[in-house]
This record gives sequence, C-alpha cells and structure tokens, in this order.
Amino acid sequence: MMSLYLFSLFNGLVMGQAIFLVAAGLTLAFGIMKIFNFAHGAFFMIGAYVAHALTGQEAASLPLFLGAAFAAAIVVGAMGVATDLVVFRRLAGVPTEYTLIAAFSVMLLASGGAELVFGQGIHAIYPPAALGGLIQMGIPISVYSIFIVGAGVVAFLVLEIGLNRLWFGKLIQAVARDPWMSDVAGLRVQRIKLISVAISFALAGLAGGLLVANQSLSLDLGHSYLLLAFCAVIVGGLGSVKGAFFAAILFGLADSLNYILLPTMPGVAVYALLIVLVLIRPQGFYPELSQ
Amino acid sequence: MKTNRRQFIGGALGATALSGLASPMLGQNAPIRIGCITTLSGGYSLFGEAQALGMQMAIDEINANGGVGGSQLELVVRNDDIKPDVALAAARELQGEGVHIYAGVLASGVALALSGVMEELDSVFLNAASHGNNLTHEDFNKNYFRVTDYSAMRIWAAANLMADRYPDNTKWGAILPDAEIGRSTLEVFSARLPQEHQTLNGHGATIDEPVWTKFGSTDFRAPIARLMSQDIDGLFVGLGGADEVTFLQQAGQLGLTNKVGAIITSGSEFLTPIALKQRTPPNYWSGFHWYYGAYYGENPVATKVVDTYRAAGHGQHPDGFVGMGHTAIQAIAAGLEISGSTMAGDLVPALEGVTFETVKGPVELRAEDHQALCDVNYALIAGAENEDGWEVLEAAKVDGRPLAGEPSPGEEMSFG
Repeated sequence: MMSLYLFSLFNGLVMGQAIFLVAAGLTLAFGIMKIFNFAHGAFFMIGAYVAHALTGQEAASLPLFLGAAFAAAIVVGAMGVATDLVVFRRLAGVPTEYTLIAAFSVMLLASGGAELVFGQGIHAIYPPAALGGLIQMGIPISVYSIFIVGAGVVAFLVLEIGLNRLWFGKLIQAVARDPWMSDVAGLRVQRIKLISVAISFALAGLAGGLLVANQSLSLDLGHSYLLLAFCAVIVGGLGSVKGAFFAAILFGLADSLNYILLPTMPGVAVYALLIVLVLIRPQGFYPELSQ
Repeated sequence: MKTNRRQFIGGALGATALSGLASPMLGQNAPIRIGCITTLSGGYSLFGEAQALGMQMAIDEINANGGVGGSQLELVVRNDDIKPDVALAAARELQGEGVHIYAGVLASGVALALSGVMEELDSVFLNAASHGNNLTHEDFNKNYFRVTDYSAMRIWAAANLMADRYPDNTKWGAILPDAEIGRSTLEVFSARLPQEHQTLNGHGATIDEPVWTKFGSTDFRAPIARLMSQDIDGLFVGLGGADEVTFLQQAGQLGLTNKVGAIITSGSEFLTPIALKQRTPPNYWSGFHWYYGAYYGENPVATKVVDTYRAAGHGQHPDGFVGMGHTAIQAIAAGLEISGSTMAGDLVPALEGVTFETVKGPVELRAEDHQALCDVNYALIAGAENEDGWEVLEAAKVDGRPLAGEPSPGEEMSFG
C-alpha cells in the first residue's frame, strides 16, 4: 500500500508538470493580452500533431524528439503571430466578452483546421528509446516521466528568470502592466506585445511536442488539458508563471491521489480543491501581472 | 393585386405540394429522404463518418438496383456533435423538410433523446451503434429500433468467450468510466463471467474491486498502479475511444499488459491496434459491431461491402460502423418494401419482426422490443510486422440470440 501512495505522489508530480507546461503559455497570454485564450488547448494539440508528423510513432532519437518539439513551437508561435494580427489586436479595448467569443471562435477554427490537415485518427506516440525505459526504485518510474518533470522545471526557471531578471522580460512586464506609460517611455508596445504573444503560443506548441508521448493523440487532446491548465492559472494568480507552477503541482497531486483516497469518485478532488482555494484566496497565489 | 385569405391558403398549400416534401407512398418521382444523424466532429467523428459512409454505400447499391418500390433513396447527413440537443435540432430541421426516417447516432444519450421525440415527429429512428440497455428496456419507445447488438449481449458474449478461451484465468480486474455505461457494463460482466466459468469449466471466477476513471483523462498511471497491486490474471477494459488508447499505451509502458493473461474491451473495433500498432498488447480481444473478416467470402452482402469499400479507396479494413450504417439502410429498405409507405404509422409495424439480409447474415428486429437479434463479434488482435502493424489472429462469432434475453420493453434489466 505504501508503494501505491509513493507511486501516486510521484505521478501527481509528473501530472502537475504536464499541466504546468500547458498552463505556462496560457498564463503568459493572460498577463499580456488580458484575455482567457480558450484557443490555447487547440494550439497545444496542433503542436502535438506537428511533432507527430515529424517523428512518426516513435522518434528515432532524443535530438529528433526535441527538435520536433521546437519545430512545433515555431509553427504554433507563427500561428500565434497571425492570430494576434488578425484577431486579438483588433479587439484591444473592446469589452472582455468580445475577446472571449473571439478566442472561442479561434479555438473552433483551429480544431477544424487540425481535423482537415491531420485527420480524425487516434495515435499512440512513444518517446525515443533514450526516454523509453523503466527504472525500478521500489516503484516503477518511467524515464519519460522524469523527463516531463525536468522539462516542467526547466520551463519554469527559464520563464521566471527570463521575465524577472532579463531586460526583455522586464520590458514585457512593463508593457503588460501599463502599456500607455510604456508607450510614453518610448517602448515599441505593439512589437513587444506581438513577440510576447508569439512566445505564449510557442509555449503551447512546445508543450504539445514534449507531451505528445504522454497520452494518445486525438482531436480531443486540447480539451483534456485545457480545463486543468485553467484551474492552475486561476488558482496561481492570473498572469503569474510562479503561481501556475505551484498550483499545477497541487492539482496534479490532487488528481493522482484521488484514485487512491476516493477511488469511486475519480476527478472530484481537483474541483473540490479549486473551490476551496478560490474561496480562501480568490486573488490567487501570486496575483502579479494581473494587477 | 390584392390577395385574399382563401387565395393565400390555396397558394400556400400548392407551394407546399410543389416544394418536394417527400411523398408518403413509394413509386413516385420524389426520392425517399433518410436523415443520417451522427457525430461528425471531435474525437468520435471517425466512427460517425464510417457510419454515414456505410449508409451511403447501401443506398448507392439499392438505387443502382432500381430503388425501393420504384423510389430512389437519398441520404441527408447532419452532425449531432455527440450532443442530444444538437441531434434534436437536426431532427426537427429535417422533419421540417419532410424527412420521416432517421438512422445513425453513436452515443446512447443522443439515441435516447431522439427516440423520445420520434412519435411526436411522426417518424422512425433506426439506431446503428448505441449500446445502452435502457433503450430497448426501461426507456423503450415504439418508433425506435436498434439494428446492432447491445451492451447486455456484447458483454455476455465477452464473458462467454473469456471463460472458453482462458479457463484458468479466474481473477479478473476491470477499469471503467465513472458513468452509467461503465456501471451497467460492470453489472453484466460481474454477473455473467462467474456464470460462464461455472457452466464451461466447472468453477467460478472473481472480479476484483473495479477501478473507476473519468472521461477524457490524460493520465491513467495511478489507476494502472491500482490494477497492478491487484492479484489479477485478466482485465476487462470498458473505456473506449482515445481513453482506451491512452490507458493501454501507459499500461504497456508500466508493464500491466504483460502481467495479465487476457485483456478484453467491449467495443473498440480497430481503434486500439491502429493506434498502438506493433505495441498492441498480447492476448488483446476487441469487440466489434461487425468484424468483416468473420464474414468475408462467406456472406455475399459482407463480401460486396468490403470489396466496394476497398475499391473506393477507403482502406483495407471497414469497421463495424460501416457495417451497421449499411445494416440500418437494409432494414429501412426491408420495411419500406413491406409497408409501401414512408409514414411511421405504416413503417413501424412493417419493421416489427422483419428479418432481412445484412453484413452479419439474416438479422431479425424483434417485434416486442425492436432489438436486433444478431451475432456478436470479437477478434483477437496482435501487433505484427506488416504494413498495418497489427493482425487479427482469431475471429469469434458468438450467436447473440440466446444472449439477448427475454424482451421486456418498459422494464429495467436485472442481472441478479
């Protein structure tokens, strides 16, 4: 029984990092554009399909697997630039409801486009041999699970350091918090916003490429992660990468332990946790960029 | 020119008559329009498109042979988005265009919604895939027919097959969605497996505490860990769709699929082997609405469907949704031949008790509860070094007639 708890704890950590990889771009998009990007899950799915198109069922090597994930990031980032120029930028200043509906429409368009381009099939993708093994540490731990945890932590550190310590990250934060003052100060607000949006979408594509072997790949993949990613973004504090990171771990643990502690009610713990945390701290763990 | 009320009513009636609304009688110029309502978007669209394709293939064949009673058939396809409200809206829209015969639908919830309004719409609905026991039992509606097997038959056949092929595997586990379909499936399997073992092997069998999951999960590792902690040598998987593929993918990575001696799923058709290819687990049995390989070359209807499917470039392996779409149209044609009319009042009695040729051989629509009495199909599939990445090792045709139970429309099934 102890090994079952240990396995669930580790699995919760893996799941939390998978959620964070999806949530990172989502929270960044909110911080910059101030919209709930419902289309984020669809672009995450497109990233997974792009990576699959490049590697097939199993990537021949780790560099190819990583290369495909970065290629997916570039493709989806480019889609983000197009989406911003055609849709989101034109809605700047209009009431939030309009941008929500626009994001929903973009989601439908992206899902439909993915169906046309990639088909309706369901695929099982496997990590390259270097990540395909199993380690026995009292509990069976797959190397790919460790890779997901590592990828989540690296993504968190890069974003956290990049946004708070690097010059360009500070520019992004300045534009996100006060675009008018940034403009007055001589910053090229629209260009910085565009680059930020590209980064946000690219993160969705990267997450798709890195997580493509974590579960089956189908047209429903985006929906599966989007809800949990939204939970992490809300509880973490809208726009906060750090908050999303810790909240994602909490939700991952809750979902995993749910199968041991409440086996007849799967999925309940996540929503119970969401309600409790929102009641206790409605502004989120770190309400940074949203202020 | 002024139009008075009498002229307006006369004109309106005339326009209606000329507008092409389907004539209730056969042999007239207007084609008989059949509304195919199925899922054409999202993860299940693969099945919905196959269902619509099977219907169109049957219609093309019937029309090429002169139609039904001199009338051509025409298929009008609508997407239900796997949602009851969308399906109802589609049915009402088509009814406004003169459609009174409907076929298709994947999900039991959608089928139940459509079944409930058929009398009101003066229409008939032939369900080609939904498995819910309730549809021909406690929620029975007289304008509803099901042309495929259903959960109680399919799962009983699974229990029979597993007891027969794996007599020594008596400790079973189960993983199911936390939903009505999961609970009703488990109820049947829990009742039938020990019973079949007792009958065939002279000893019982046990099913360990089931593992429940939520729909659309991306991580089954914790449920897999629970299953691995159980002392089981057989596994019943009731997940379906992308969930089943994810589960078996992760179960293979963690070693569960090699630990258990037999795995059976109730209705995944070719979905899992197509996704997993060479990594399809050993001793993996998949349920089918129709497994073409069990009939090809023996049954002329099946042979023609397979040949036409392949010749049209749809692939080498038509699935059961193609077969049941085809069967729904065959049933409608048989009913129309008998009734000579498209009106529900004539068609329903004509369909009750009708026996017609299908891809599974002769199928009877039982008069009492409108349930098809037909074979139940399973296939043992394994990974292979060929173009597909998998192959069927064994096909099982289980006679579903004794498994269909006594008809009891209006009453809930009991497995106690």
